[in-house]
Amino acid sequence: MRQHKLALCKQHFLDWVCDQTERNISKYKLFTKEDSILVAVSGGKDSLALWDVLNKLGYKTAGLYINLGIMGEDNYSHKSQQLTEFFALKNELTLIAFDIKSEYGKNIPEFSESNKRGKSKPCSVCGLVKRHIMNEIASKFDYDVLVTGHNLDDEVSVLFNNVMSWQVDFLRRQAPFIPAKKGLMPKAKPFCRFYERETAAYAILANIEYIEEECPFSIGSTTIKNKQLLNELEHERTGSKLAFYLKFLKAKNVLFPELQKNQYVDELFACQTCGQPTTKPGDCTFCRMINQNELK
Amino acid sequence: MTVKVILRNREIIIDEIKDLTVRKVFKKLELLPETYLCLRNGELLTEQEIIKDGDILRMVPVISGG
Repeated sequence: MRQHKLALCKQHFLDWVCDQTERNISKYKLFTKEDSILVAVSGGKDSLALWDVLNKLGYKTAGLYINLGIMGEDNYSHKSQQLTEFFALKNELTLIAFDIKSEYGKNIPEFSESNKRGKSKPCSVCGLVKRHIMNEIASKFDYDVLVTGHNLDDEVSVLFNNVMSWQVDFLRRQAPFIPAKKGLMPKAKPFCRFYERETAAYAILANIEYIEEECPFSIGSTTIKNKQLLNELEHERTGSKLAFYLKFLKAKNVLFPELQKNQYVDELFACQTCGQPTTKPGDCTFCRMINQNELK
Repeated sequence: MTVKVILRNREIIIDEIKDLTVRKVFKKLELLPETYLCLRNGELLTEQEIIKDGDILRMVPVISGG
């Protein structure tokens, strides 16, 4: 790991990942051992590695898997659910499995076809649906915090995108921990400082079976293109991704001083249908999408 | 005397064996080391690892987008 000027054997690497995760949890005040944690798991390397680490560190966790109904050549959703269930069973962990088609009558590709937002590219519909369901389930079952496996590469890809298009509101909100707001669960990213290569190495060395195939809709996505660019930069200048992210977090204090003084407040309304927060009065974007589909 | 590399369901044969390391394999295949991990018989290799004649390597992509 040139970025850390560190080389470790298998066991010490596994221990290092656990230690660094604990440090991140402490540094960013993500949660405590008394908190009830819901881990969003997809069957991929990051979320399963995270769940494994949190379990080893003695945190009280359960997993939430959302079956999006994405088929592709390898029956992506079916395979990812199987791997998640296998992991939960092997480690005697509680898993909540939520099937979108069973609950709402359509899977992600079907929703995106019938919705302007997701025409020919289901990613934005997928993100909307996952965020809504994660918040709903975490709240319904009284979890204290929702945790995702976002790694450093994910964070810098989003950061890069938001800087390129100067999405100031998104930049303001990007952080390892997003506190609770009315109707919104607190969200934490304990893996936010790990390189994607490190989380993959952890999953392999800890013998975690995860889905290696990519979501078929992610091929050619902006996220992957950004990651490729940033990795080329990292190859030329070791440590640039980590520096970009950490210096951004530090710069936020200057860029958004209102956050330090807790002066910034998003204006939010309660959705008329589900009660979850929304930026405009009436129904939230998710419920509008569901209602539109029911009318058709 | 050959080394086989499995990369995203493709098999690539490398004939040069002398002083071949994982780092040299990445360079030969024009792969960024930041984006792949190299396995041999299920074992994770570092970039300095020397590759032997007959080795079968599997390149695992680490970038995810979903």
